[in-house]
Amino acid sequence: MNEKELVRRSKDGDEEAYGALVNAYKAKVFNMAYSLTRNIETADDLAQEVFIKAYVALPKFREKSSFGTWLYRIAINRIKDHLRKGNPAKHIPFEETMSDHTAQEDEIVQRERQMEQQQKSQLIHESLGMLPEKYRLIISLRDIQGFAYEELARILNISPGTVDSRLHRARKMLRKKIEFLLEREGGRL
Amino acid sequence: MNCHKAERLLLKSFDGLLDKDQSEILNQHFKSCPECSHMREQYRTMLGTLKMSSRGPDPMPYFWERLQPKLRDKKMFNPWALWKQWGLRAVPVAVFIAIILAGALTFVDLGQPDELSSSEAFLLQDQNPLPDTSSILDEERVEDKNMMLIFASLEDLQSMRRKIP
Repeated sequence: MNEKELVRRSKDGDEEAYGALVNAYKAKVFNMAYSLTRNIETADDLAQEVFIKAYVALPKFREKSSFGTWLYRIAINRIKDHLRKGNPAKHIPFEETMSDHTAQEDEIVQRERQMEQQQKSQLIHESLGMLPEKYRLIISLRDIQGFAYEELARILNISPGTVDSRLHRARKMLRKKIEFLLEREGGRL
Repeated sequence: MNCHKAERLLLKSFDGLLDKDQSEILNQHFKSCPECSHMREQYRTMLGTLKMSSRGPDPMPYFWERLQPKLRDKKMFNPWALWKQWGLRAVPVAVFIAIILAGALTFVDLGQPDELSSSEAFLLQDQNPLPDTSSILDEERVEDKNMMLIFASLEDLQSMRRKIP
């Protein structure tokens, strides 16, 4: 069953069809929330709220854009609301392992690399959390989530030219922030 | 090429938006500018780390199972869905009833009230509100009219006088 059919059935109240849409998009919506909040529970709560909001608003969805774009727009608005209500991103160390890439390497070297990578990641996310909301958002969507320029323009409701200039400014700003933190702590990127 | 433009092109290169010539010019610049070369390494690390963090954790278990009861709660009272289901169907019925009522009011004679007030009789039936004065006003000669008015006024005054025993 294609997405349009699932959307049509969901509009008619078919819970199973909506379940299929949720399963298709939950990881993306969750990661979007996680990249901006850095907290698993908060991101999970936000993702649930996004799907509830989308379910309630589904009869009003006119299918001018794809379901995904429409859903991401709801997600962005909900996450923005959350961040504005005084809930900044938490800087929890990123518990990511890269075992696939380093499986054959020596365990100590691997652990050192992991720690180094975690520190870098923590520093970068800390710096990202210091950026103004619109720059944080565009970096998160482009450089973490990997959305294309055109899709970003549709989700954020801005022109592709604005996406380009905002992204450029955001990346420059992020590098400056990282440099500032590194200088303060005496490290290097 | 200056360093400012090099930075712009460098950032575009990470999105794969540079053509072959631009890439060539940029690489030439990096060979001659150690500062920009260092900046390129910084951007590489920064964007690479960000990209890696896209492989973040999964949503918490039983996402759909936890969501389902919340959706059912919302479904129980959803004003929009209720309007969509019943409101839109009620519109033609309401219009039909309004037409019937309007027709009934237009074509059915509800009848006149039994007694009219003096104002209604004056306005609707052209009745003279002062029937006693019509005989005076109908007189053709002015002298007769004046005399009759004098007598009429005297009659009114006599009725008001105290009776002499």
